[in-house]
Amino acid sequence: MDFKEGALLYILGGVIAVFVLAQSVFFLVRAVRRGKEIGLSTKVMKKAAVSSATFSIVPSVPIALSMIMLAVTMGAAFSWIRLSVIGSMSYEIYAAGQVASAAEISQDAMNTMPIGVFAGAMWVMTLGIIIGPIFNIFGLKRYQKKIAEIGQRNPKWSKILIDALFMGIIAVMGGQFIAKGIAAFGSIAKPELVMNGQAQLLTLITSAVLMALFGVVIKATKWKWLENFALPVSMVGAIALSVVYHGLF
Amino acid sequence: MSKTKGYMLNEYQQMTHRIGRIWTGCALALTVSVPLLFCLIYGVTPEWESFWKGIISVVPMYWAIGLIEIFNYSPMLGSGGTYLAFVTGNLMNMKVPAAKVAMDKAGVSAASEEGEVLSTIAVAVSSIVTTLILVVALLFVVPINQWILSDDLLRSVFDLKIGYVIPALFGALGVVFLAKSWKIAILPLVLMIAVFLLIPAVYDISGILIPVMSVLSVLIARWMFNRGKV
Repeated sequence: MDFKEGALLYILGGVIAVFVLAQSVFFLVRAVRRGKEIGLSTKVMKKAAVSSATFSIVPSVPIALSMIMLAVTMGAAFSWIRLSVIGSMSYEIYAAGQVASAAEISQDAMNTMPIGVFAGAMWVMTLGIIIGPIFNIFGLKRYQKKIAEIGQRNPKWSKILIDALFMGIIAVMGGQFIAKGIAAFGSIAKPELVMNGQAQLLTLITSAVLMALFGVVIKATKWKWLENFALPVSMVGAIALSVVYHGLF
Repeated sequence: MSKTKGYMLNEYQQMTHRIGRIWTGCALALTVSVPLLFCLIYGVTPEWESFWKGIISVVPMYWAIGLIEIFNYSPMLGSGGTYLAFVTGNLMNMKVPAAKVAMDKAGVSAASEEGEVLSTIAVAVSSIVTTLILVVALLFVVPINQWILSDDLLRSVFDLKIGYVIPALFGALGVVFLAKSWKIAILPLVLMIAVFLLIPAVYDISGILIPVMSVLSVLIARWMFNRGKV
């Protein structure tokens, strides 16, 4: 039974896509009507819509690309669902990876992920991302002014706080692959503990180097549009080279 | 007009909140219904051990980040834009800049009613574009996925547990954070490398270490921030 590619998830994905489109059209029509009431010209509103549509095409392509990376483990349908509603590219891959890593299953078994592990991954990916909408239902109206005050009171600290929270994730995940690679290269740990350690470390370094190159190019050319492609293209480049690394060790 | 903590809302804004809550509630129910219906229809319960390990390593950080994002972005998006953007996702890389560009071009601020209207238009159009592109992309992803799964090497390369997608993700993200905030990053990173090298058994509980390291990183960041070092 191929539960990941069954009709159920595609049907739910279709319902969600229609829902997101319906909500967007509803808010769009309502905003346009209000704009006319307060004297905004059709030209100004049309300009906002066209600029947003053209701006959104480029960042949507990397999201589609990340669907491929996620689909191998989570199936195409659920990856599509997660990236269509509330999701974000790096979050979904990280969250699915955490459940996959936590499951005590062998490499062969991993290729056909047990349905219970898949169900657990679905729940974790869903529950991890729903705080924004929950807060909006219960707190946005009540605290709208307070939110604006807090957000504007110390914007520098807010940005540092987000970076620091991410650093906890990066220190553990990055540190783990660096240590695994060192241990595998130096043969100082049991082979089963550091499986693929060398190739994983080389992949991590390759991705970091590609990302840094993107940074240099963006800085030199001031091509801001490239920023959206930096993460997925660096990942795809590193994954392509990982095929070579995998064969070396 | 109604008053919310000293904040005057006109009829349109009142209605935006009412409608926004209803749509968000439906979106939330739909989102949660996916794993719920999957479990009910296939008669399956999640594998609890990996589920809890996953929850511990994902929820505390992403709930904290989600709340901070509301504080940071909702003043830029207005109420209509906020309700919509937090349902459709991809805020940092798409919704916020789309709204900002639309308001900047018209020369209005996010706090004005014109800004509220234009931000909602921009977020709505952006959501429509992404949703349609993802539907088209799905047509390509399905055959590509089948091709990858039919090849043993590609399957192990893309495996999220022992493959190379996760190292590729953290190599790219890591270099960005190291470049941006190396002073906050360096101590937790070196500490973790040392711990994993000295106590290999820690690999099995690495998910539990993530919230611990996040708290430590926040404490280091606050200490440095208070002293003007970051």
